[in-house]
Amino acid sequence: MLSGIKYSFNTMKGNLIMTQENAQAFERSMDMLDSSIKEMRRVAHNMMPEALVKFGLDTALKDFCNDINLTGVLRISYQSINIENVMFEQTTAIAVYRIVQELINNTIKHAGAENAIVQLTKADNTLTITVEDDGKGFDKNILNFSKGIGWSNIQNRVDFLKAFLDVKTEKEKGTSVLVEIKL
Amino acid sequence: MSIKLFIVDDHYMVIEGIHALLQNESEIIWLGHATNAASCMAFLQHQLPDVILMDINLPDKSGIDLCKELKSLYPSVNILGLSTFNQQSFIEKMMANGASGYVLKNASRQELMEGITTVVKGKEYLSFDAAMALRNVDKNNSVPVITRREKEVLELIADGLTNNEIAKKLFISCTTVDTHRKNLLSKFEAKNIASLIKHAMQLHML
Repeated sequence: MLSGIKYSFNTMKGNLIMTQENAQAFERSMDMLDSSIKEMRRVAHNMMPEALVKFGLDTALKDFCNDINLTGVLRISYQSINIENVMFEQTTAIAVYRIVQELINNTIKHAGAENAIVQLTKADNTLTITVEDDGKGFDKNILNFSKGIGWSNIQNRVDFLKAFLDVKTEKEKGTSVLVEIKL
Repeated sequence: MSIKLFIVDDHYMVIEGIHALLQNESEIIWLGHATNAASCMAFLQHQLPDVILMDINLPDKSGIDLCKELKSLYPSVNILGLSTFNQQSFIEKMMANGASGYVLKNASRQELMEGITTVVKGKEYLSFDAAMALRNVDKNNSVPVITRREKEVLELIADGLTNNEIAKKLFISCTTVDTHRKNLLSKFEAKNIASLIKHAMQLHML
């Protein structure tokens, strides 16, 4: 709808006669409208990506990794085995998506990594998620004292899924996080 | 050259907006608009446009499905997907279902016209942002990407340990070892463990 408004205003601009000041104010407003639209879209997309709802977990994660690759901040390789065409329960799919999102955000913010792997595999009734990076790793003990809500979010989701979480990390050796979920 | 244009979008603002955007284009002949899939199909029974601007998000049916249906009934109509979604998955699916092009709603009048005039000739068109979204970062396709745990398991398999022994050594369950094993076979496209080890050695991963 905001895009439609933008179109309409753009056309009106051609048909109106404005003073110099008004024209400048108009252009500035158009720019602000543009930025607001972009920002709103970004937030909405982060909160609930359309692809997750419409096409499922595999596609949504592929899009997510692709989007990050396009920004160039991290090179993510997405691997999925036996996941195509699997219909996950929506709450499970959302929880898994959020876990991966959170872990990759951590990687981008803290790891200083160049490459990362996001892997989803399904064997019998177990879904295994692996998120790895080749960054600087961290001292695992700080997880017990972390003040930020990032890891507790991940832990909460893991608990919600009644899943198993394992973190392998060492300074300078990168980080590998494994989540195993019984479906 | 005149182009008969039709638009399907459930937002009047967008329809009016695009109308306004293209009002000075003499080539464009407006056949009409529809706000849902059903009325679009109904309209097409009476008149066929050259190009349809089709929104992906329609209330009664997804634009992706509508595109497929429409192309099978009226193959001469060229469809230009119109959307706010810049995701690779949407673009790929729309194109796979017969769309000739994809334009984002943030496109300029120039891009929109370029899209319309390109697809009416039967060619494909992607707006700049859509093309960017499809750009895949160069992947190293020859070497399979394996995770740290898979690498550990691979090395222990090469050392000749059994599943049980590997499980004990890595403090994981037997089923997990089996999963890693299966995934490794799949990634290296190997039929059995011997073949897996051979591929891995050839790629200097062992």
